Amino acid sequence: MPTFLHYLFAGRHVRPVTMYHILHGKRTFSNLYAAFINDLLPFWGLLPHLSRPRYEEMIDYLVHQKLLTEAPDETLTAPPAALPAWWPTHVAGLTMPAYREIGDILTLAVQLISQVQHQERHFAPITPHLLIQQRVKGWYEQAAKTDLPGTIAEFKSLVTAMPELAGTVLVNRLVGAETDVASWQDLAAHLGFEPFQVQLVWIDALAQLYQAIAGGQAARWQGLLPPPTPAVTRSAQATMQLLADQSVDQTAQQRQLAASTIREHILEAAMLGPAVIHEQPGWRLPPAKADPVVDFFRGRLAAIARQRQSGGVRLE
Amino acid sequence: MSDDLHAALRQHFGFSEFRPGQEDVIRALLQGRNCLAVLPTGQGKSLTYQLPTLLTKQLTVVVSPLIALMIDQVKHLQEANLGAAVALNSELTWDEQQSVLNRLDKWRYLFAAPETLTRPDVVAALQHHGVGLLVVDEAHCISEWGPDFRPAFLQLGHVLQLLQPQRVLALTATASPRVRRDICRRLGLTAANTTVVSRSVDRPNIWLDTCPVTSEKEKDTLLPKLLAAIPGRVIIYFNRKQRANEVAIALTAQGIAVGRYHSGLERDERRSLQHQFREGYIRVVCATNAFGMGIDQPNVRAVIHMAPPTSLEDYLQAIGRAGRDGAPAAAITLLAPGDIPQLQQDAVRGFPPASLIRAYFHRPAQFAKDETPEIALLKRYRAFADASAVTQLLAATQQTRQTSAAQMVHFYTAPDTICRRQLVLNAFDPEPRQVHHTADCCAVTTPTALLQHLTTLAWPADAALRVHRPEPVQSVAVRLAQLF
Ligand SMILES: [Zn+2]
Repeated sequence: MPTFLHYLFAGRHVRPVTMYHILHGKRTFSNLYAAFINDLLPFWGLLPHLSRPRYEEMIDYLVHQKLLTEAPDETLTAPPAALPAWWPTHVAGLTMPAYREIGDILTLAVQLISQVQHQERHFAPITPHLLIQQRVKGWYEQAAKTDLPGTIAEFKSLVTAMPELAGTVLVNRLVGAETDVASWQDLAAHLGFEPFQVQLVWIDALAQLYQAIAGGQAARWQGLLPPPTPAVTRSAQATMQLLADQSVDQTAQQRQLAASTIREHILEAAMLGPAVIHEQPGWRLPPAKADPVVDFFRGRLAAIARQRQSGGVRLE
Repeated sequence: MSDDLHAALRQHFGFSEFRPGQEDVIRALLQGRNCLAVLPTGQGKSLTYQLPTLLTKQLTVVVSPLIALMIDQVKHLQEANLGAAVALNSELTWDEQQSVLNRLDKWRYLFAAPETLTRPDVVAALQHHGVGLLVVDEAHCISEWGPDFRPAFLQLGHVLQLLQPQRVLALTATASPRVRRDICRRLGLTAANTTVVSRSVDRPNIWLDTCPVTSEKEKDTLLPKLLAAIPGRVIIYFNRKQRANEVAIALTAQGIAVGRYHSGLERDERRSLQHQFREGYIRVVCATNAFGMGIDQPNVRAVIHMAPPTSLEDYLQAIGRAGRDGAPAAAITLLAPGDIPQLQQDAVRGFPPASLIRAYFHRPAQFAKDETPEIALLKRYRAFADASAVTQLLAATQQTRQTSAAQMVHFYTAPDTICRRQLVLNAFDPEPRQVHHTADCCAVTTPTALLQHLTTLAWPADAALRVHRPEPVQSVAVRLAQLF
């Protein structure tokens, strides 16, 4: 895990507490902005169970080992480092349901089908979550039950098409009638990884599977998982609609929000929305150098546009 | 009525006979009386509330100290098809909890920690629906005179007054007379409305052995020889996680199928471990003293303590996992010179001095980031009492812990001529019988004598052990074929 953190900081300028919030998925504007500008959005909400003391312990270790250095502005940085042996490429925390949830739903669905296939009468669901139990049961009745062989075939072809490492970790973390979960330790020993790396592989495999299913590659499984969530909040979307034909101040008045909030909505849409956004005359912002706060906003808007035009998110 | 009970026992559980004590408890409950049941571990405690619940068809609320315990019981009820069961705990989201509380009629068993039961929304829902039977599992946790004391259990008396369940069942495996009195007093169980069912804690089929060795290293070399001499499943207890890991790795390297049990296991990993132990793919479980370990395996042949437990209660709880099938079994403690001083030290560690208690209660916010064991303890207590009450409680708890440790030390260091089984019975049975001590009762032995004695026990044949554990990690194709 320290290796993973080290690589996340390498070549970037992020305050350690901000990195923690990003990995936890704590949604505030400044965390989002720091994630965007540092190409960290894919890792949003990656480690929701990481405890603060454990995280700080690792940061202290990395600083102590001189792998990370503290800059005067309290950010931590390191020279760009060699890519670790394995790195996630499918994670996209901001637009996906929580990995834990996807994992629980998928595991329960497979457990249910496996037990039906093995004609096991008594069913003790692997997850206690009632909403997930309901969801899986509803999906099973509607989509899977009528064509079990087809449902299984779709799942098999999805998993078989994945890279071997991702597929191996994914299926070995599933349970069934006669099948036990392989522990993180067993998988780590088998693959020559650290248990934490195996967990990352698992999360990334879930993300890949989720994207394949959401993209329609397994029609019978589509109803099982919750749909993707839009990255731009509804509130920011509403603001952007109003700004199409009125000023920032008018919009603020109409929505009973501060003008600074409206500007944050613009930045949010600029970072996470479908298109690059430039300042519009219709927003009727004060001229340059009239208001330092607005100039600061302009600076950020321009930085966001540059970042997106330069190829956007760094995907190793 | 006796015939009805036996018919229900056969129909729902597939047994033809009750285990000692079970029928008395069930009969008392069905007559509308409360019950304090002191039944040794492995004697089917949960059946004593499951059968009445099936017969009365009312809601049974089970208070349990540990989430892991609740999960195991819920899983067991689901697998055995004994009625809808749910554990109301932090594993459920708020919405899920509300959906349970809004439709209590859908559930037959509700498991909850004492903290959950005091929540106003939970109390209101249970008051509205009515509780047929309230079970306090591991009831000895309510007594600060027991080493497993949990402050949250103190609130149960108040909860009982609010909920007014039709009947109360307090269940425990080990309770000294003093702890029994405490349980009854705190739960408001009086002689007039309560039946006490109590079985001796004695497990005559378990041979009790203490084996002094010269060092930790000698334990490590002796252990594989013991495992070779014991034909069947073994649970090994450690008091340090790291030590358990080291030994598990060493045993695995010697070709012994070992599993690791600790409180940090994930839900599906616990399930997997239990399944593999049951199926015989794992022969040995290395465990850190994890209270409430969900392993209920009748044919465990031996429990080995690599370090002494902190109390005689712990010792009983641990060895109670051996020989539940009634066949010969062994409880062995390997004792190195440093173990007894360590046990005495552990008993006084972690208790905050009175000055720290006062400082903490005066300004708790100042300690928000403090994670020392002493402050962690105070944070747990703060929800239940004020500074002076906590000082008193902790003084009592500390005294209990030291008394327990002293009792345990005495068990291990008493002259060889003293019968260990008699010591246990004297500590827990209200009217202890006079033990007829023989070589098969208990002993303090050298390693050589221990190995020799193990060859004389009439071990049952254990046909279920598999030689090869299936590869834990499989290829995608093999795994998919196995799943579906
Ligand atoms: Zn004896």
